[in-house]
Amino acid sequence: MKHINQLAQQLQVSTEIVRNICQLLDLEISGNTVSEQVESQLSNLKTVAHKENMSLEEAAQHLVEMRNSSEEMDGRKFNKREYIKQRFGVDPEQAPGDSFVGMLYEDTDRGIQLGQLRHRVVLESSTLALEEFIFSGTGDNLNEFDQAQERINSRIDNDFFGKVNWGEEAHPLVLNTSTPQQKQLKSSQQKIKQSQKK
Amino acid sequence: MVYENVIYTQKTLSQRYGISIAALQQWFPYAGIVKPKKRGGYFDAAAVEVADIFYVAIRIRRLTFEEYLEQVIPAGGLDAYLRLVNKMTLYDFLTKHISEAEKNNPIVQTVIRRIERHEAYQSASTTATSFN
Repeated sequence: MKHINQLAQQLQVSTEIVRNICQLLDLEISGNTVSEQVESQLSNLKTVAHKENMSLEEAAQHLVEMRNSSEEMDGRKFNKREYIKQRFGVDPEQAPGDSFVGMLYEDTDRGIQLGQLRHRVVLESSTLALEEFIFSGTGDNLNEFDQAQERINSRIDNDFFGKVNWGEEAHPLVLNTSTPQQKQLKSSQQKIKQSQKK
Repeated sequence: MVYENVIYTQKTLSQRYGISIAALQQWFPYAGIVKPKKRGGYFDAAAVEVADIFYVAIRIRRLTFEEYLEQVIPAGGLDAYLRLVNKMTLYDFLTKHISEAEKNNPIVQTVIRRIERHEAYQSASTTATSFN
């Protein structure tokens, strides 16, 4: 345990700044003392800050920003709701369960399961295929399979998924209506009012 | 006579500086001293060194408690503060620039000896004198 003033002296900043930084970085101060762990973390920060020629506070701020951005990176997971919304331009949570989008939304769960299964199958089959290639060389019957695959894909692309927005940007339907979200909110509010009247 | 290898309780430490226990306790939040939790508990060696430096700062260098907190600590200790403000080291200040009576003060003597010893061994302790 070390008194916060001693730590401040070691870091060559005022006690207030040490307190601010500890608060910023979620480091614990019990009363007026800090643990050796906190002390070493802050003195490391000081070393880095000195090397980068920035003040201790700036360095702490920087550290917080880095933490936040790494959290954002972790947060870039597959979100089924966002996915449906982006592809079909309708928020699936607000779509009726028996509607097309609603059914698709329920299908996403199975999609995720399939994805996991597929991942394993790809891993396993690729291992098996590799083993096969290694011991017996490549087979020549791949053409028929490729053609069938191609036929299926083109059908899906032309007949069904032609209207699906496969890009990364928002769905054209959403873009065309100037304030789609407000509209949805209003309509849902009206629904609530109506149901209350009943 | 002050013995450096004596360990101190709040009572004996206050006697070392010739002040009351209550007066000593007022130092703690400014000097940054963790007081022993138990009644009659002992200070660690670092706390005694800090208290000595604080004594020198307020009595010999004649700083207020607030000045110590707001200027000496952010500067990185009394030695660094004196280099910054008075363009001299703590050692030079204590050995060349104070009166004979003050030089003979046992606390001053202890601090001087501590600096000498520190410079002789170049120990890696984090006392106020270890900053360049």
